[in-house]
Amino acid sequence: MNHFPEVIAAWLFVVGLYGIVTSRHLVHLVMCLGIIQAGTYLLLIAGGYRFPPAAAPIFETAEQTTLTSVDPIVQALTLTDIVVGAAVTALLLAITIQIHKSTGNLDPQELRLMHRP
Amino acid sequence: MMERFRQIVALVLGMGLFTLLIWGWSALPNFGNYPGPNGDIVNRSARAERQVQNAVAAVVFDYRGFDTMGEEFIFLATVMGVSLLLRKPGRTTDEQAEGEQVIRKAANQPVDSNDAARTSGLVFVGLLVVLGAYVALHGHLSPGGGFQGGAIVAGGWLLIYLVGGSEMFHRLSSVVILDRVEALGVAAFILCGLVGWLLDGRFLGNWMPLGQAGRLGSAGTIFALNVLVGITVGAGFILLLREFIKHLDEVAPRRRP
Repeated sequence: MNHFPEVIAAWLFVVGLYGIVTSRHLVHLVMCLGIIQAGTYLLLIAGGYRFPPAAAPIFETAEQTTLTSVDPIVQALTLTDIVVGAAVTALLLAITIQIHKSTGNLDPQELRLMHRP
Repeated sequence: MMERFRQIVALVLGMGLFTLLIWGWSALPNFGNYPGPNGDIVNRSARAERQVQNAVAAVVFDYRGFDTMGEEFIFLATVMGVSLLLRKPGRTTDEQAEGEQVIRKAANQPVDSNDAARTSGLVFVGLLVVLGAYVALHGHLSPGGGFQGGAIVAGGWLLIYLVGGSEMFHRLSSVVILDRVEALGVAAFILCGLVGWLLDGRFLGNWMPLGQAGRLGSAGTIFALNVLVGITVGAGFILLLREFIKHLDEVAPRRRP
C-alpha cells in the first residue's frame, strides 16, 4: 500500500476547506480555494506516475517512444485545471473588490446576504 | 463563541472527510503502478502520427483540442467578467473617459520605486516577453505551450508597471488593441477547427502539413494553435492586470508601485 501523494492531496483538500469555512477575510478565502485546487493537481499528476521512475512524455527521438513515460493525458487535464483555477481566482478577486466597495467589509462572517448598510 | 463553535464543527467534519477520502482512494492502484492503456497509447503513437515531440501538447491541441477550445472560452468569459465587475457602474462612456483622464493625471507622476528595481525591471521586460514567445512557439517540441507562454509574456508586461508606473502601463496596453487581439485569437482557433472539419472531416482535425518531428514548423495545427492560444492568453492576462491596476489607481491615485 503506497498512497502517499493521495494522502497529501486529501490533506490539502481538507485544510483548504477548513480555511474556507473558518475564514475571516475574503482574500484569505480565495487563497484557501487555491490550496484545495493544489490538492487536485497533485491527485491528477500522481495518477499518471509510474515506477521505475519514468521519463516526461517528451520524445526527442523515435526510439524513445518505446520506453516507458508517464501518462500525458493527466498532465493535459492538470493544465486545464490550472487555467480554470486562474480564471476562478481572477473572478473571485474582482467580486471581492466590488464587495469591499459596496460594504467596506471583507469578513465573510459579518457579511449578510441582501443586506445594505 | 460562534466562531469557536464553527471551528470545532469544521474540524470534526474535516477529519471525517479526510478519513473518507483516504478510505476511498486506498482502492486506487498504488502510486507508481500506472494501470491504464490510454497514456501509453498516446505516448506510442503521438510522435509517429502527428510529428510532435511533446505528447502533452498532442493531447491538449489535437486529440483533446475540443476541450481546449472550451478552456479558451472560459478564459475569454473570465476576462469579460472581470472587466464587467470592475467597471464603474451607471456611467456613460463619456463620463468614464473623463474619469480615466483624471486617473491618468493622478498617475502621471514619476514612480517612487528605486533605481535598481526600475533598471533591472526594464531589462527583464524584454527578456520575459522573448522567453514567453519562445515557450509558446516551442510548445510542440519541449515542455511549455501557449498557455504557459502567454502567462509569462503577461508577467513580463506587468514589469512595465514597476518600471514606468500605471500611466506607462495603460499607454502601452491599449484596451482597443488587446480586446481585438484576444477576440481574434479565439476566433482564429475556431476557424482552424472549422477548416479541419472541411479538409479532414473532423472538427479541429490536423489539416496542416505535419512536417518532420523536431523542426520548429512541425506538428501541423498543434504548432498553429499553440501560437494562437499564446496570443490570446497573453492579451487576456494583460487585460486582467490592466483592470486591477486601474482599480488600484482609483482607490489610491497617488500610491506608487
